Amino acid sequence: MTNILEAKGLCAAYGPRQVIWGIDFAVPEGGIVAMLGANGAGKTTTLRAIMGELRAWGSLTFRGQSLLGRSTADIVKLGVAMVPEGRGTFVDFTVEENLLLGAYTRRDKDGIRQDIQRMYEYFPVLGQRRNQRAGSMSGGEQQMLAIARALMARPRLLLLDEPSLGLAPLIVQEIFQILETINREDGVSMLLVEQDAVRALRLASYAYLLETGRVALQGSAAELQASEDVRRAYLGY
Amino acid sequence: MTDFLQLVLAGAADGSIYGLLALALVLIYRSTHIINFGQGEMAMFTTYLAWSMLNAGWPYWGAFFGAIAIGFVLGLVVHRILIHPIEGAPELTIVIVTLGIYLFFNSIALWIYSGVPKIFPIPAGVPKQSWDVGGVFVVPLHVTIFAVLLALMLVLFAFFRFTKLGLAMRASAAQPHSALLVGISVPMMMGLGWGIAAMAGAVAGLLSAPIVVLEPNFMATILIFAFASATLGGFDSPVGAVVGGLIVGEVSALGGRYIEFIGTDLQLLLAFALIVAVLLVRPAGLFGRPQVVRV
Amino acid sequence: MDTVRRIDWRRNWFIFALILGAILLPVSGPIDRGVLRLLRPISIFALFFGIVGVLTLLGAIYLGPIAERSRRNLRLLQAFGALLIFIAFLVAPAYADNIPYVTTYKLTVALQWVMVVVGINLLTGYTGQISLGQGAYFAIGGYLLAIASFREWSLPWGVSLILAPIFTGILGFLFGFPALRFKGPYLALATLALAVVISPVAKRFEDFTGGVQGIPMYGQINTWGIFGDDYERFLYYFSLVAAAAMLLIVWNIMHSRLGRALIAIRDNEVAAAAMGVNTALYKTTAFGIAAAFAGFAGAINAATIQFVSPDQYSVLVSIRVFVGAVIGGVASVLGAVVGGLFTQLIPDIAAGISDAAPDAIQAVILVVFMYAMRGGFAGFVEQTWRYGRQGVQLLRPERAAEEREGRAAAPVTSSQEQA
Repeated sequence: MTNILEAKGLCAAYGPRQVIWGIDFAVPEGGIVAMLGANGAGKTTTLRAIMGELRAWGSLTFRGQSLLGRSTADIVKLGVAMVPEGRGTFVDFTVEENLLLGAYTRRDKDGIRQDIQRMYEYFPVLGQRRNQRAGSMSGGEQQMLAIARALMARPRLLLLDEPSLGLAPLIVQEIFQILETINREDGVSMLLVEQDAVRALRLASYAYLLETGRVALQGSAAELQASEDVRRAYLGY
Repeated sequence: MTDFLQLVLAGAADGSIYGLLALALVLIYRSTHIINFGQGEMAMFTTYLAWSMLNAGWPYWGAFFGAIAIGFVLGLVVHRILIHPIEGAPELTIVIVTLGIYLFFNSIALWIYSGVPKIFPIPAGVPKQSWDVGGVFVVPLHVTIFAVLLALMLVLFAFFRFTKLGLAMRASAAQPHSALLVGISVPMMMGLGWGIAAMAGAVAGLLSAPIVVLEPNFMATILIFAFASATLGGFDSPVGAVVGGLIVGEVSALGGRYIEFIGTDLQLLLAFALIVAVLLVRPAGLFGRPQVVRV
Repeated sequence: MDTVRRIDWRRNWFIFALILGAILLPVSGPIDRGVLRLLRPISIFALFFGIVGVLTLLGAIYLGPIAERSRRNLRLLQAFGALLIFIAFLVAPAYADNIPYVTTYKLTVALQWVMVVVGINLLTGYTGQISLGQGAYFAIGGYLLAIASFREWSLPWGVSLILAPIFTGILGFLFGFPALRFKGPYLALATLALAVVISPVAKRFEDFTGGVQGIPMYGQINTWGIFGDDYERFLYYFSLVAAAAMLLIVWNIMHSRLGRALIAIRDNEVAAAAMGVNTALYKTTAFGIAAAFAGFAGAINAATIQFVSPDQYSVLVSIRVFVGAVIGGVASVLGAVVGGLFTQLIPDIAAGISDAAPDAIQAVILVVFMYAMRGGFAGFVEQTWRYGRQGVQLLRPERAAEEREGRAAAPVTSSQEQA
């Protein structure tokens, strides 16, 4: 099984302030990996480093190509898309415009139109609101839109930053189910950053636990779910 | 009565010029959240370039579109080398740099072309004779200016609304971070915004130069009126810029005539008072959206 | 070669500028062809910053410890420095002929710019309000002196000199109220409009202001017997004393509770208000003081030039003096001195370089400063002093080599590197 994303000794810094201290992780092709940890552990920073938003060094390869030093736009064109924390939907634009923007890097008009239809199939509520202003939708709907928007770029790797944040449990369940479907049907690999460790471990097959910019623990989802320390510290029982 | 109508038409023509330059200011503000104090001088410089082309024997419309094209490139270049590098800098720094732009283009124009006023022709094909419409003298140039304004507005509206690039530019202006995540090169979009704005400014310069004489400071007062227009209309609203321009144009023209005190010298004072009044009462302008500042 | 790449250019550039300038200057003297003519001023520039930088470093290394031992020491050192500068200005007229571009007259006007700039520093550097309209108060001060003492009434000019700052101070204070509602660039915009309006207004109210012809005052100002008939010297020393007094006033304000409140307002107005600072009162007061300074400077300037007219108060005055303030260092009293000198002398120097476009060169200098030295000249001195205190390091730390190797360290036992 090859890894679609591999990081070795990845370090990252905000200007002069280093926050990631040499972490190793990998996302297998077609798999879902979770990155857990408390606030400030460096999970979001890691995702942003992958997207080229801050100064990073070490080794970070996507399908064999190094991502370090590339612009965000280039990284998107290579096939990585991110659903940022807080969703990042274009609030003043309609649902359909959001999806069109998601496909910005693509030129195949027919393919884009087909994909928009598929998104409406995955997320029927988006189809109902296709001409509605994104900012007027509920949090859960916006989250779905954000995921759909990222998928419009036909990425091979999808990064998700706390998709459950601020959403009602039923909606989160629905979203996670759709993620699992997309992963299964389209083979989109996923790297999921979550504070809701329970759900994340149910969806992912492997997980890393970050603590102040370092990998504190890693293992298969089953292993982590079984681990006493993890359970007490992060799963709450 | 005819006098009044005459005045209204003249006011509309002036207002169209203000609206055009205000449109440039608004485009820049929307794409980069900067108030460019040097916008007028850039427009002035482009107009001088057109003058050079005309002097070299180019046909009017060749020089017109040539100058606009150069203006576009100028806007792009100024953004790339002066504005982009100081993106996150404090407001003061950015204000200073735009003032630097003002000084630079003002003095370069003075250097190359000297302060001696030059004559700039009205657009080719526009009749010089006024039309007598029921006792009111309609100046074809004024009508042309107004028409150009409307045409430009339509073109820009269509561009931003219906094209992929226009959508991308709007998205970059609204939410640059999200735009980056969909693969848009936000700096490029900002540069294009400056380019388009410079084009609008160039048009303002090219159309107003025939009315006032072409000299290095001729856009300075127009700039203040344009600022008043953009402030009145709302700095983030293109429609506001144009409507604001027309209102300022009318108020100046009518105020200048009917209020003894103001006359032609103090119209600028009127513009200033307008700026202050709007910023006091409704800072977002007529069409702008009030800003909520996160602390 | 590797060593060259490791040199920390950002922090040590002025040392190399010093060397470069020292080499280039003698070489570039005779060169007079086209663009190469720029070599000479560039080398002077480089030399200037190099010397200032190195002197500051040395000062930081040797005097720093003394200053840090006690507050009193620090104040003494600062007072000593200020005294040195003051003495330099005291004796300058005697040497003026030896320094290119400098005459007593120009220094006098430069000192008047210093007065305007120190007001801008208070208003913009310390309270964070951008005002592009100080030239307007400058003009009003000048016109007040001319009208009150020569055209309409015959007040002794000393009285006008006192009335001017009071009048402009009140105006500035009143203008400060609506200005409270404007933020950042909008405030710049409103004040710019103020500056633009002055000239047309002066032309319009001819009866009062003499219109386009202005108000001449040649030979009509008596110097109270000091320095006898040497009008020029009198005005120079008068301006020097006045400027020094204003600098002292602002310095005192900045080191008082009021000063801290102003800085709090500049950095985070909402937080300052939440802490009980009466932001409205302080902001309008800052406007008033800056306007008063500019008004006084304008009045004494009118006496120096002995003439006022609308054309000498164009909007470019406001822009140029603001630019000078920023280049000097807008949050610093020392910066005001440099700023004033810059405003007066640079246009001449720039004109010397290239007859034709002095403002363009000023604009380029301005933009370069914004990228390289945002705090202006004073900021440069401050930064270099701090650098000297931290320890001079020519080479960057060995981070680069480690980054390249890529550290496949085990997760928890990562580097002990300092950020």
